[in-house]
Amino acid sequence: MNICKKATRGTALFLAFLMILSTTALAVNSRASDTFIRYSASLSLKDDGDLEIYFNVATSRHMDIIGASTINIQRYNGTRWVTEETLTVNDCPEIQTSNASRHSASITYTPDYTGATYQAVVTVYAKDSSGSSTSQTTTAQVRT
Amino acid sequence: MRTFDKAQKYAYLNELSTPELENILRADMALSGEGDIDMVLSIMEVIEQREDGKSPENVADTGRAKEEFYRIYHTPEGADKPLYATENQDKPILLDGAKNSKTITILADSAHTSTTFSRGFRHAWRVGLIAAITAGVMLGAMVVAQATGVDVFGAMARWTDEVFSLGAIRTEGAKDMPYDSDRLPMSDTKADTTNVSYTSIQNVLDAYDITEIAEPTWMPEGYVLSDIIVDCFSDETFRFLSAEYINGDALLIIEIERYEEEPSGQVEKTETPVEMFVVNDITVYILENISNNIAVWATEHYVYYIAGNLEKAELQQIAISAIKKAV
Repeated sequence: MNICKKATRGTALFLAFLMILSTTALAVNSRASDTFIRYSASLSLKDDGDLEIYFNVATSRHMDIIGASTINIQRYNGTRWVTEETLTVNDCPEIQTSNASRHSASITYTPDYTGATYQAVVTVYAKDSSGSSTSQTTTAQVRT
Repeated sequence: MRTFDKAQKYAYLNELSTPELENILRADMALSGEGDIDMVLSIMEVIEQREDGKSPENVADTGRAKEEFYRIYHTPEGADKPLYATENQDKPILLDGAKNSKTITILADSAHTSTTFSRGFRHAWRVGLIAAITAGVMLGAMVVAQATGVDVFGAMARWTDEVFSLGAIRTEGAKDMPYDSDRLPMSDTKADTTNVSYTSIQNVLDAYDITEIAEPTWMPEGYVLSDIIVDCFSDETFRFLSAEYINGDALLIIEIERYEEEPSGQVEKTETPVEMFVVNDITVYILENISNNIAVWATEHYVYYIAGNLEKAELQQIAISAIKKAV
């Protein structure tokens, strides 16, 4: 009987310990970025019907790489957002720079549809010897 | 109609500031005793006149509130009676022949439909009514502010535990990851965002005829301007400025971004409560991040960011110097 009690108590303590650990883990995940200070992204319709995606990002120290890793151009199809195009540094070298604490870039994109609603999801990115940081920010919506 | 004597009685309200008047409305709402319809109406009139509330929305809101007062309370049957029943009042307002009843009966509309309230609802009714009037007055003031150019709606501060913005929150916050050897593709091409050399923030602002904001006149000792990035819209008007100051390894970054409808900037922060102070009617927000503090504020067209590993008092001093210089 005593053994059973001890086992129960031990299990309870172990579970409590696990809960504390998981709480700590959540706290770590929800903390702010040690890297990014701020970033912004906007989408606008140009006179010729093209979309302009503009973003800027600032970090708290000089980074080896800073900018955006991807820019997803999304269109609303009536029920959900579908990604029409994903731009990376291969497509647009100007979305990243090196050895800097701030970066900004403006990308022009010709949408597939007119009369559709678009938004862009910009993943800002920064990397140095201590690691990398990313954050996604979504622009306001624009109708083409 | 209110008499001249009553107008004289509340003339002192003109001497009080609008926030003080709003405080009186709130205090009146919290009181359990009898209300003062004339005082409330006088406060509304003072605020309306002061804000020069001529927009249709403002007039409509104020009109609705007044109409509600007159329809429900300012009736011939209620003349010379207190507005609200009090603990010591044995004769509540009786409007439907319900004399000596322990309930208050109020005409709900012109068709003489009656609504009966138990005594327990009196205070809640009064609180709700005055809260509605206060909200109407404040909404009216905001609409007026919007009409006069202070974009109250476009630059409203919002924040979560991780992110702050003067527009909509458009991110869930950043993820920091430890170093790994996998590198994203990196181009050798560096973006050409600065094609003119500027020697100061003020130099940029002057070049674009921007007077709404100004360069700080006070900076912490030791910080030297490293470089300035300036971005323009396609019509060559100012869009964004980012100035970096260096003091050894420490960075101080000042950024100014123009916004059209609402600011899109997202600022990373910790869970530490946001602090704020007001300079020349501009609210400055002070945020904490892991390795820096940030001051943020908005003017009619621009958002101003100052970030660095500085004491909050230093950030405050920089912000105050910039705001006061712009006036």
